[in-house]
Amino acid sequence: MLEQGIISPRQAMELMVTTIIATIILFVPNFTAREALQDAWISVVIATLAGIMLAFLVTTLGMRFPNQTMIQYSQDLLGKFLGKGIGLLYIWFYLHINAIIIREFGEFMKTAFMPDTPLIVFTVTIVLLAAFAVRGGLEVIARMNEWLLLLFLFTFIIISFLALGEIDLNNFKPVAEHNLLPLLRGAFAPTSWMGEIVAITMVIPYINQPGKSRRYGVGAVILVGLLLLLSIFTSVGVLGAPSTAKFQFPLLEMVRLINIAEFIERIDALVMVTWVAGVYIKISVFFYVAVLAISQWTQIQDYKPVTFPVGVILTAFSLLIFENTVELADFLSQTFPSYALYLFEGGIPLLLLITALITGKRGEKN
Amino acid sequence: MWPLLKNVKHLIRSIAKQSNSNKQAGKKTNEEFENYPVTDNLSKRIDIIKEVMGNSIDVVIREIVIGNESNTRAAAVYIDGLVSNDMVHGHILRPLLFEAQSIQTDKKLSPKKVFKTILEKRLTAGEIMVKEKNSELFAHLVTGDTVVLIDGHPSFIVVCTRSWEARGVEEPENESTVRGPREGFTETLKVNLSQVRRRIKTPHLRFDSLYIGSLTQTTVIIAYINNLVNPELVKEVRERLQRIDTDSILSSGYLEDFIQDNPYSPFPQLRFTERPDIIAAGLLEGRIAVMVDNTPFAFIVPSAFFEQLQAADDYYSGPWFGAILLRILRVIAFNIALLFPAFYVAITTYHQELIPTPLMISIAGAREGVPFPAMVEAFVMESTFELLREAGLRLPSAIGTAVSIVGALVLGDAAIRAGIVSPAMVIVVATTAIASFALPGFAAALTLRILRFPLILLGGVLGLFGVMFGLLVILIHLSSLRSFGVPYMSPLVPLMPRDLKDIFGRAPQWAMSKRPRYLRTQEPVRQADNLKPDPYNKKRK
Repeated sequence: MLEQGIISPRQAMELMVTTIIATIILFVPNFTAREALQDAWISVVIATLAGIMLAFLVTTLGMRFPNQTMIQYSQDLLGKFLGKGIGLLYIWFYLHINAIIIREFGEFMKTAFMPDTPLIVFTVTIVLLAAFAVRGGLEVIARMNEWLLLLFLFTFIIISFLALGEIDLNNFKPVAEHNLLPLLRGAFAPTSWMGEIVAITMVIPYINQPGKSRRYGVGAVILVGLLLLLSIFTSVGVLGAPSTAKFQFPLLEMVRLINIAEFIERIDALVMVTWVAGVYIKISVFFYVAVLAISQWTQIQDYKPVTFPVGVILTAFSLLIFENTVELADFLSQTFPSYALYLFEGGIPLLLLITALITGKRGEKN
Repeated sequence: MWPLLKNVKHLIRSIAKQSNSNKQAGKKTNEEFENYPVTDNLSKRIDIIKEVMGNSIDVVIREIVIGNESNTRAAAVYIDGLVSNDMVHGHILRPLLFEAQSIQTDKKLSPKKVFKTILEKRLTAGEIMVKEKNSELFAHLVTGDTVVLIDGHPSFIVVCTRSWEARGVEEPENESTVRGPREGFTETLKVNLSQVRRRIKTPHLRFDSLYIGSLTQTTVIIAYINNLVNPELVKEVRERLQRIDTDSILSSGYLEDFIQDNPYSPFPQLRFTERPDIIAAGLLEGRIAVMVDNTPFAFIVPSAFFEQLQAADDYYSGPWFGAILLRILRVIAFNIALLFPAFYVAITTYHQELIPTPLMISIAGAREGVPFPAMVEAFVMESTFELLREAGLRLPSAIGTAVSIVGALVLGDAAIRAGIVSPAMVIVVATTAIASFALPGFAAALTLRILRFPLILLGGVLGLFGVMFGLLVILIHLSSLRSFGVPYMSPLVPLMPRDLKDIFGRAPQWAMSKRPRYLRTQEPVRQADNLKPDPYNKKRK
């Protein structure tokens, strides 16, 4: 096998939680509130239910082939030609999504904190860092994540707690003012984020108890749903639905309002620090998955030499992919959900699972 | 067919011999002495000794004659200063010169008979061996044994007479305790071994020995409790030590470089200590201790990060929850010592909005007139502090005080008055220094000093993002680091909830009924589960 490391199902769950949560709580409240306004929380509930189904789908597929990644078993299922085609599509998807995330990260750092620093500084440093982690292997990423998720959750919950005093429940009224359609439209973006759990199909062979991956995969989505609910609840409760729909990063604006005893105020830079940690893990996970997919697709023995070339591609890709922030936000809210959801997060896994069920193929168990 | 087989056998045997001699580093050089002919002629043997040892003035060759009439010549050879004179005079020379005279009064005996009689009936010393090889002769001679040669007999008698002037057992200076035992290791390995053996009286305590260093022939002891320790670990430690093929080991610090998992890590992967009680505690947890002759510092493997924050007093004094406070304090101290200057530089340079306005005004007021950016200021101050520390370290304590007065009071005060550095920076550097002194493991302090400067640089160039970058690099490193196969951040990462009770605090003794799981010991249970004090007899039978 390419990867020697082995992680526990709990570590895999934590990896997935960080991967999804890192960007979802920053970008999605705005997208959802734009569509569903004060009922954004209902959209999140719907999205979580849909996310659970997606998690169920991809883990069921993964557990049928506990010793293989999706790149490998798609060839068993659909034949060499089609299978390789699907592998190539996923390599593209993982590279593309990662380029977007790296760009999101850079734009966020630039707009929110260091407007005078060129974008490329953030891009290069974060890709370099992620490359170190990827060379360390899955075990290293998983172990780092144990720390960082703890830090992330701790900061997030403290912030939510501090914001409780500012919440105005009137911001949620009237409940369910509109019909179902805006709610569904609002649920679209968070569902596509939760669908990123599809990355677990590349990790399942390296979990020491692959039989538990469904339970933990679904658990990851539920945890993300709860945290997103909390984030939307505080953003809309503190800022009100119209402002949440207007600010690009509602959570950050909310944090900037926190003021305790005239001493703890403007703690947004600290939030930034923990957010960097979370996004860093997210980038590392997709980086790792892409590198692993490429080396399995080309059937080379060691994935490490692929790391730095892929890093260079990611850097360039993320710099060239959008002209500016507006384009990025537009793509994220309009194009990305259907692109990711229909094709990579729902469509292809469903196709593969149905093929597997019809042909009755399954992988060896150890 | 047969001769061929014989040849093969011979070949195999010679290969095995070679690999053996390679494994036992150091034996190699002694084999050169085997080139001297084995003889039973006393004069020739003495000539060989003189040729090998030269005219070293501490080599004593005492030639004597045994018997009254038909005389057998003999010699006692020893190195002055390494032997106990009482032993040599009272238990070797005296028996040979007086009691042995009665052997040969009447008839001439064969040298073999003389040898046997002396060995069995005359020598009153306790530890005696009979050896034949020249290499063994020199090996015993230089370790302080006395060699008795008898003319006409090819073997020789080795009498253990080792004894030399050594430092007595003293309180360890680097790791003193308030309520714990006060004795520390010394340079004499035998004394150190006895200190550990006195604490752990089980016969399963093993001291396996190795000789490392072809010239120094330093004794290295691998200590472990046989029915506790993970046997794989013992094998691993032995293999790592055996592959060291060097000419000298002068201190246990030499071994560190040879056997640690990641030689490029700034973090200490072995736990050095000069306290026998800490070594004993490590052994009782199922770890392995390595002790080296001529060094008061032994080390324990495997050693995870959090052991650097544990002090012996956590277990010896005060209520058990007092240790929780101290451990958390040390975690905070570690973070301050690592990050405070970098954070200060990053925040004052890029994120002024993080500081409450009144505080910001006073810091800005103090910084007014300082000609350098905060990063340069931090570098200057930190370097000055390192200079002071290094200057004071090896000076006699009387002059050391003078250096700290000149450095801290005169220089610091003058620098602030001259407006070269701001008082806030002095506070930052001083706090950092105090925090680094608060850590019990002296090895961790050096790690912090190495990492502090790059972090300041990152904080000055990229602000908090830069500090975060540095921290993530450290985190990647810590997550991939292992000490003898044990993940360095165990038991926190990977998480082993049961083992956490000795990390951010200490559970009471009655609650720590299991050994740390990450050590994979043979016997995980340490004591009964129901030992919580129950004075009013609620559950007692």
